[in-house]
Amino acid sequence: MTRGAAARARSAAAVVARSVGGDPAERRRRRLLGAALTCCAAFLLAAVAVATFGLAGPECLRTPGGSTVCVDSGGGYTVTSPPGVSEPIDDFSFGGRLVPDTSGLAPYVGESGLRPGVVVAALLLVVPFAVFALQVVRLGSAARERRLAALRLQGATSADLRRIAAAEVRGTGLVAGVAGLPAYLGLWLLLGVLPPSGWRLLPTPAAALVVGWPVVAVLVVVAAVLAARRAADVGTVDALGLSRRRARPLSRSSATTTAVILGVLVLGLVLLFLAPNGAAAGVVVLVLPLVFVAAAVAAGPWIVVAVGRRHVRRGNPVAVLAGRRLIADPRTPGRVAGVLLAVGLAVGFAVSDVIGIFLSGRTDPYDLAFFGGGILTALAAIGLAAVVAALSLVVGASEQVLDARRPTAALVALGAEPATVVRVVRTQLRSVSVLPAVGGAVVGATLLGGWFAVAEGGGRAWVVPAALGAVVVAVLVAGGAAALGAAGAQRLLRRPLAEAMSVESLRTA
Amino acid sequence: MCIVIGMSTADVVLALLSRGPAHGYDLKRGHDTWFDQGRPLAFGQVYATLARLERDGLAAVAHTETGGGPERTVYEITPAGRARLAAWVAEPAEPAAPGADELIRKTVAALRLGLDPAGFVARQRAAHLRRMRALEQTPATDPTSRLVVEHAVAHLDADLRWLEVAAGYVSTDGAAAPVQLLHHVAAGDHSDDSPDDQSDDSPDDHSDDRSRA
Amino acid sequence: MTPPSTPGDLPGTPPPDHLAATVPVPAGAVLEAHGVQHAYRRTVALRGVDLRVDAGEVVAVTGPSGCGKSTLLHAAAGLLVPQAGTVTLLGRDLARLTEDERALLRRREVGIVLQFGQLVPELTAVDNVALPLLLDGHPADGARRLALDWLERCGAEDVAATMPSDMSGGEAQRVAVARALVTGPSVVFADEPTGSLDTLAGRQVLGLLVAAVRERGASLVIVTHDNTVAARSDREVRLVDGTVASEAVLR
Repeated sequence: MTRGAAARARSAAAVVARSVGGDPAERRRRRLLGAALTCCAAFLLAAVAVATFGLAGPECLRTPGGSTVCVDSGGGYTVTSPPGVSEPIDDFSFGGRLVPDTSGLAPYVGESGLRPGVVVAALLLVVPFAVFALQVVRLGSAARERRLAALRLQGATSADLRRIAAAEVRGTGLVAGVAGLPAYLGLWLLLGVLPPSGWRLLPTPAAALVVGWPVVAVLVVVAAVLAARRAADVGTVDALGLSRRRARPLSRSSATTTAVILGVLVLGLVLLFLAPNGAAAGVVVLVLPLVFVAAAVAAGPWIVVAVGRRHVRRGNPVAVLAGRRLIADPRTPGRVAGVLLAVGLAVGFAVSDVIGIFLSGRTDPYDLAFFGGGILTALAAIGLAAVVAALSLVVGASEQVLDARRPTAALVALGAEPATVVRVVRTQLRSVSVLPAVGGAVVGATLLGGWFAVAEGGGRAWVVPAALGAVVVAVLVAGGAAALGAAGAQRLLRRPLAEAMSVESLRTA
Repeated sequence: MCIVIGMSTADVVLALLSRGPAHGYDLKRGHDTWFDQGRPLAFGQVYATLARLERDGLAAVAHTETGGGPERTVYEITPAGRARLAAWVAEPAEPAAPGADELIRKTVAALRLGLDPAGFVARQRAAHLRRMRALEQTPATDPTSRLVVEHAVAHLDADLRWLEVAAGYVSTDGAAAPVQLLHHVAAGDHSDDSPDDQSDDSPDDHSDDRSRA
Repeated sequence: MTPPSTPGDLPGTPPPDHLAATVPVPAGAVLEAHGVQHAYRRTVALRGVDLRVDAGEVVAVTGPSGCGKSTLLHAAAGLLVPQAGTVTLLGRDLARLTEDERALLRRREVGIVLQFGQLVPELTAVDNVALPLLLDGHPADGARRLALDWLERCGAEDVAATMPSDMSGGEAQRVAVARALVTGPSVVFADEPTGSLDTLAGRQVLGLLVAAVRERGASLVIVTHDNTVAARSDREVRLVDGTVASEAVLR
């Protein structure tokens, strides 16, 4: 294609993208996408803010005696005194102003050794929002799919479609990326100003944010555009897409990706096992959670397919229908399942940890404040991730329900009680929420509990029962939360479901 | 030339007479207005038909006009003629292919004269459907006999769809409607009515026609 | 939609499990609708329609688009409760049944065929056909065997393992007919069953449906705007503007 033709196609794509903005479903889609991407940007900026805290370089102060005192990167001082001046310098000489002011921050943010963990946590929190955004990008709201199919019918090439899809999200992505900074400032007010001293999670905004802001914005736009281009690929939209929807089974390439990530995960675990105290171990410990979440999100669809197959084998119609629906489009629920698997694992760790702390006798107030605060914060973050995952579930499931409104209405017409249809959706929702969350909790609690048991050498009688108890509590917490989330999702789905089951749906194409 | 007078021509003449006393030329003009796409009615046929209607007691001579020109006999319909006309319209046309012309005649007469057109369409529809059903149940002995049946079914279906259009005209006031109906036939599957362009129809004829109807 | 039944009616209704047992083999009317009226938000669909269908009778409901024929079918099948009038299906006043009881009645005694898009897209043909049996608690093996049997009778055994998205329109309709008949219904409701098919495929599917229904001695109510479809019925009921314009016995 010549440059001119490409430019024309691009401007045509922009026109299409702009003109469909008036469609209410499309507006809703863009608002959801914008919100999700803004949250992604805000948490990325939070990671930047925490990571760069204290890296502003040596802070120098002039003493009343005329000396210049600078803080080294190593934590020591360099004192440059004018000839003949000698002053005693210590940590408290300048009211602590020589070190970054960590007085209000929570210990794991303030202490440089623990800070990378917080950065990883912030990055992990980006994942559920990214999954949500991906879900929204893929949202084949019927009108959008018809539009793409109609364009294809009129001779738009797949490159044109990708261009249009990119144009549709570019603006939204840009606005979201730019809105990331105000959103981060809001987050800072919430987590860095409002909490009492010693509980604050975000440092005072510094210059690094100004540099990070455009970088994050570009990152968000690029990610959104790439996701949209993939979603508009020829495989998913053909000219006859309006009349026939095909199942989208998992591809070989997604299997390869999953295998590679799982391989990296196993490699990391082996490294950690072989050299638990080596220099690399510190890095591995930090990177491992990221790799694990990536692996969970990649493997989620395969887990969903496996669960679906098991449902189908059970033979009762509700399970068969739910299973087939899971197998038909395992991607989006699979990613949610991956996030919830990670959530479950984190819950398992946290519960084991809490029980370990209480039973190991480290109950002096400082320890309690340190560990308890950290765990509470972690649980809040886990809860946030779970809520966002549940919302993704709602978005995906309502799409599937509305997509299948005619067959759903026909199902009711041929004699399925509405309650049966509701049960199908409930089974679907629970399969991708409760099951992975419980699985993750069992694994997490067992791993950490087992580690405690080994570390304690089995010397104390309560270790094994405590580890078992941790598993039970973790399962109850994670499973209960996931069930609650599934129930909430189902409540939000009540209207689209009722709409799909109504006799009116027999009239719509 | 031997003039064969079909019963249907007599029925149409009777229908035209039911609007009021008329002489031969009035009747010919009325016929050619109703069926402006069809073959015009020959004068010889008009008079032969009138003679037969008079013989059967369905029409009678009202009076004889002696104006400036030649003598003209004005006929009028008798009560027996009216009964016969009502019976003709009430009875649905034979839904076989040869009945197509008759179908048009009856439909036009029922619409023009307002002789329970909705009932007419409903009865005709039932008659067509019954014939169609009988044809559908004919066991197919060999492929081509089935084809012949399919042809008949297709024609019946075309008739039925035309009747649906006709039913649409029932509710509307349509003196001009039958003319369009015939266009509809000409444009449709029915080509057995080769349209002649000898029509001397004019808008004036129409208004004239309506005022007398 | 909840039926406008008063709590006082409920004690009289037998529990769902006895529903099939208490429905006798219908003698006389299978369906009786009286003065059925229904309006949607902007349009009045039915303005007081009476419809009676006898056992073993094939009735065609015809009329121009928007005459209310689909609404009448939906009311007759208990898919919607009309705003006025009564519908008695197989001796049961539909308005007095709960939604679940109506679903159960449809599942066991009624078959439904729509124009298109009625198959569950995630299920193969044989699973689609077995679905009503499975919903009714039949063992999976027997349900599948019966489903295969019906697919064969409907000439759709070749697509037994095929997903709906990979079937032709005619194949999908054959599967739909098999699904409607697999439970051995007393009455089948069909809404434009050939509407999305070409002439020949439509003819075949219709012939199949009518023959299967007649063989069972079941009743068939078929909504159509196609005259050749109407000509297969014993009686035509023609709707215009939400009222019965004419009725004709064709037998």
